[in-house]
Amino acid sequence: MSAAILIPTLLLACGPKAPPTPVVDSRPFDHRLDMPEPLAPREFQLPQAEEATLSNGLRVVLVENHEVPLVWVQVGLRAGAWTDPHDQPGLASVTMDMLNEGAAGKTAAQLSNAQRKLGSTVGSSAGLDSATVSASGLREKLPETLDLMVDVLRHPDFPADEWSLMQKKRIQTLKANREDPRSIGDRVWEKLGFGDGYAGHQTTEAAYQAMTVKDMKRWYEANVGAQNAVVLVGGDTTMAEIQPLLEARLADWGAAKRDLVRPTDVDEHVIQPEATTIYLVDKPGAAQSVLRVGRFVGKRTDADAPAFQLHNMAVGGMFTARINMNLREDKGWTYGAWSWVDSNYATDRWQVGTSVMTPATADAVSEILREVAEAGQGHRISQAELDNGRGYLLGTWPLGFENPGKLMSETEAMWLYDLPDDWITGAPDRLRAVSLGQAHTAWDTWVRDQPLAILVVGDAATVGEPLSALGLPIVKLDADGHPLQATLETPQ
Amino acid sequence: MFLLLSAALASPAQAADLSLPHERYQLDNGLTVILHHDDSLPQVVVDTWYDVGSQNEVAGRTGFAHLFEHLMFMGTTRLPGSGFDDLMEQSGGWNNAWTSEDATNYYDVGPSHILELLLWMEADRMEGLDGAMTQEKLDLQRDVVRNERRQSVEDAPYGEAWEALNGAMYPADHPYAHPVIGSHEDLQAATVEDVVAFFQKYYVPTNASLVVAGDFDPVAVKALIEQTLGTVPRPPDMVVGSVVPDPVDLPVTPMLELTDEVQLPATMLTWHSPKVLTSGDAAMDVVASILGEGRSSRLYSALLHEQGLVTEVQAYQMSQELGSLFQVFALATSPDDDLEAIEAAVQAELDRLAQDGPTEEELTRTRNQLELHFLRELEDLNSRAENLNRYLHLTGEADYVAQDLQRYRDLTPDDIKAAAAMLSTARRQTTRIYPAPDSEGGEDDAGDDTGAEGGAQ
Repeated sequence: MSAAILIPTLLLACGPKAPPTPVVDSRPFDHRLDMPEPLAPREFQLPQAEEATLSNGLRVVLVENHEVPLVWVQVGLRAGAWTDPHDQPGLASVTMDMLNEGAAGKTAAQLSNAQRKLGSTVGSSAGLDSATVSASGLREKLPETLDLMVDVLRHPDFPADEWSLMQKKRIQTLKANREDPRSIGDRVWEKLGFGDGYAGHQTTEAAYQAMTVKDMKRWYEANVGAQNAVVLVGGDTTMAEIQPLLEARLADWGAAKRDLVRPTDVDEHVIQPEATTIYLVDKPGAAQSVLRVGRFVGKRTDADAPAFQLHNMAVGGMFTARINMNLREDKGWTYGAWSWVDSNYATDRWQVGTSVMTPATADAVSEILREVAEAGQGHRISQAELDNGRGYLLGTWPLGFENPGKLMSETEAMWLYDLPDDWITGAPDRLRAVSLGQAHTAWDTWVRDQPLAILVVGDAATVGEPLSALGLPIVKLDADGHPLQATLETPQ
Repeated sequence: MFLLLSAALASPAQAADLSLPHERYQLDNGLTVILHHDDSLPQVVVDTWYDVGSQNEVAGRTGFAHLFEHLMFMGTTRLPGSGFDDLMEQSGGWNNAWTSEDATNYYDVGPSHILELLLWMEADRMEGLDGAMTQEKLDLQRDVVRNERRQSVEDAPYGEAWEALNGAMYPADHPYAHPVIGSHEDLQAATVEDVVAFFQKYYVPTNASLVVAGDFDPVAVKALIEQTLGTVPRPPDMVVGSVVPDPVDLPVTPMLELTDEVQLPATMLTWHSPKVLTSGDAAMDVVASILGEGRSSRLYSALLHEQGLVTEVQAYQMSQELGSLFQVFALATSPDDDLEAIEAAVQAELDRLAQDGPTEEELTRTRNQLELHFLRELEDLNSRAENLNRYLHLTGEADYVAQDLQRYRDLTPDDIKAAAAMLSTARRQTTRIYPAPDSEGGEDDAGDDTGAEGGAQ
C-alpha cells in the first residue's frame, strides 16, 4: 500500500504544480494536484412554518424539528426601548429584566430553582425594537415549562428589593462600560446616528436612580398584552400538541393599554453626516483604537437593497472582502475589519467597524476612506467579486436553518417590521437577480461621494496629531458622546 | 405522557440514550478518520484536530501554537495567498480555528456539494504548508496576533488578571505556565525555521484526526478522503515526546495584587483541581454550579442577595488535560470595598458545602441542567463534529458522550461534599484587581511588558 503514497510524493517533488484554478489540459485529473470542481448543489427545502390562532386572536407560529427532544417557545412583543419615556431611558429593558425577578408569588430564587429542577430556562429581555419572554426545555417538561413562562409573562410581581439589587448592578455596568473602548464605541456611535432619540436615547445613572417599580408596572400595563404579541415555537412538538397547551394558558390574556404598535417618528432622529467628520473620544493608554465609519443608506425593502447587500460583501462583508484583506491580511494592523448594514425601524445604517493598533489609527482611517472612495471610482468591484459574495451568501443560507432559531427570528422580524410575505423564501432569488450594474448603482446612490461619520475611540495623545493631518474636521467627544468644549478644529 | 412534578425530579428519560453514531478507521498514512452521517440538511462539516497546543511550546516561544494556527490560512504552493479563504467563501463555506493549551482545531462548514473541495484544501495545507512559508507571512500574522492580544487581553477589563493567572498557578517549567496568547516578546522572536520545524513535527497525519460530518455518500466519501488526505505522506516514525508533568497542587504565587483600567475592584480565587474526565472533575462542575450558577446558587444568595458584598459572582471548573483550575470570580460593589471580606464570605460558603454537602434539590437541579447541556451540545452538526474529535483525543473513544453524562448521573452527595472539602482545605491563589489610581491619566499600563505570564485567550 505504500506505493499509493510514494507515487504522489514523487510527483510533488518534481512534477508540475497546478494553478489554484481548475486545470483544463490533456493530463488526466489528479485528485491530489488538481482542485476539484464543485458538484451541483443538492436541493434545499426550507423548513415549513405552521400557523394557528388562539381564541383571543394571538398568532402562533411553529417550526418543527425533531432531532433532539427540546422545545423553544418565544413570545415576541412590539415594545422595545423605543417606548421609553423621554426622562426614563432604560425603562423597557429594566421592566422586562424584572419579569424574571419575581412572579406569581415566587421569588427570583424560587423561579430560578423551579427552572433548574425542570432543566428548563425562562428568560425575558427588551431590545431596541421589541421585547421577548422565552422558554426552552425538554419536550416532556413542556407543560411545566410553559407554566413558568406564563407566570413570568403575565404575573410579574416587581419586587422592590430585587430592583434595588438590579439598580446597583445596572449603574455599575454603565460605569464599567465607560472604561471599555468597545462599549464606548457602540454607545457613542448610536449617539452620532440618532442624537438623543431612538437608539441614541441612552441610559444614565440619574435615570436608573430615579426609576421605581411603579414606573415598571405602568410600562408593563401599557405594553405587554396579547394584541401586541406573537408566539413562536420551535423544536420537538406539533401544533396538535402545543396549541391546546397555549390556549389553556394564553387564551384569556388581555390587551395592553397602548395602541401604538410601532414608532412613527424614528427617521426624524436620524442624523446624516453633513460633511465627513472625525469624532474622537479619548481613551488614554489604549493599545488599540476602536473605529467606525459610515452613514445611513436606504431601507432593507428598497429595490436597491439586495444589490447594496452584495456590494457590501465585496467591500467589507466577509473575511476575503477588500477592507479586511487590506487592513488585516496586508497591513497586519487589526485582528479583523468588517462592514455591515444595521436594519431596524430607522433607515438602514451602513458602517465599517474595526479595532486597530494605536500607531496605525490615522493610516487605517485613511485606508478605509480610500477603499470606500475607490469602490465608487477607480477600482469598482468586479463581476468575480460580486459572484464571490453571492456564492458565500447563497451557500451559507441553508446552514442557518439547522435548528428552528433562525426561521423563528426571521418570522418574528417579518411580523415586527411588516416585511413582505416572500421575505424569507424569496431571499435567494433576490440575490441571484442582482447584476453588476445594479450593485454599482446601489453603491453610487447610497455611499459614493457622500459624507461619512468617522468615530475613533483611542489614545488622543498619540492618535490626535496624525488624525489632524488627514485634513478632516475633528470633534472631540466625551465617553457618552457629548461634545467637549472648544474642540472644533477647522481644516486649514 | 406529561409527567407530574414529582416525576420531573428524576433524570429526563429521553436523554438516557445519547450517542454520536460514527464510523472510525485509519488511513495508511496514520490519519484517523471519523465519519458521522446526517443528511437532514445539505451541509457538511470537516473538523481537523491536531494534537498540539500551547503546552508543546518551547521556552522563549510562548504563543507559537496559536500563531501557527493563523499561518495555516496563509497559502501553500498550490493554493497561494488567500486562496484557502477565497475558495471557501465564494463556494458558500465558512471556517475558523481555535488553539488551547491542549489542542488546535480547524473546522470548515459548507454546502455538501463542496465537500471534495474542503477535503482537498485540508489535504493541501496538511501536506505542503512548510514549502510556501515566508518571512513576510510570518511577520504579517505576527502583527495580526499581536492585535488579537491587544484586543483580548490588554484593552479588555480584568484582562491583566487572566494574563497573570497561569504564571501564578504553575511553576515556570510546567507546560501551562504561560498563556496561550503568548508574550509580545516571544511572538516577535519566532522565525520561519521555527514554523517549518513545528509543522514537520506536529502537523502530520499521525498527530491528527479528521471528522467528516453531515450529508455525504457513505461509500464515495471514503474514496474522496483516500484521494485527498490519504495522499499526504506518512511522517517518519518518531516519538512526539510529550512529557507528562508532575501534578501541581499548590499555587506558585499565592497572592497577586494588580491594577487595571476598571471601575470596581474584583477578586479572583483559583484552586488546582482534578484533570478533565478524571475522578472528581465532574463533581467540581457540580460544585461550581451549586455555588455560582443562577439566582438560587449559594454564592449569589449569600454574597449578593443577603450580604450585599458583590455585584457579580461566578464559579467554574476549567477542565484540562494536564491539570484543571477551579475558580471563583467576584466583583465588588464600590471602589473602596474590602476584598478580604468578600474572600472570607466565599470561603465560608465553601466550608459550609464541605461540611453539610448539597441538598437533594441542589443535586437534582444541577443534574437536570447538565442533561440539557448535553442535549444542546448535540444539536448542531458543527458541535457534534468537534465533540467526536475532542472525545477521541481525550479518551480514545470518539463517542464518549453517554459515559461522559454518566459521570454526572453517578455523583452522590458525598462526592460533592468531598470535592468541596478539597477546595475548602487546599491552598488557593488570590488575585486582587484594583482600579488604576489614575485611570484618566496619560500613558500607562496598556503596555506590552506586563512581566508576569499567565492568562487565557
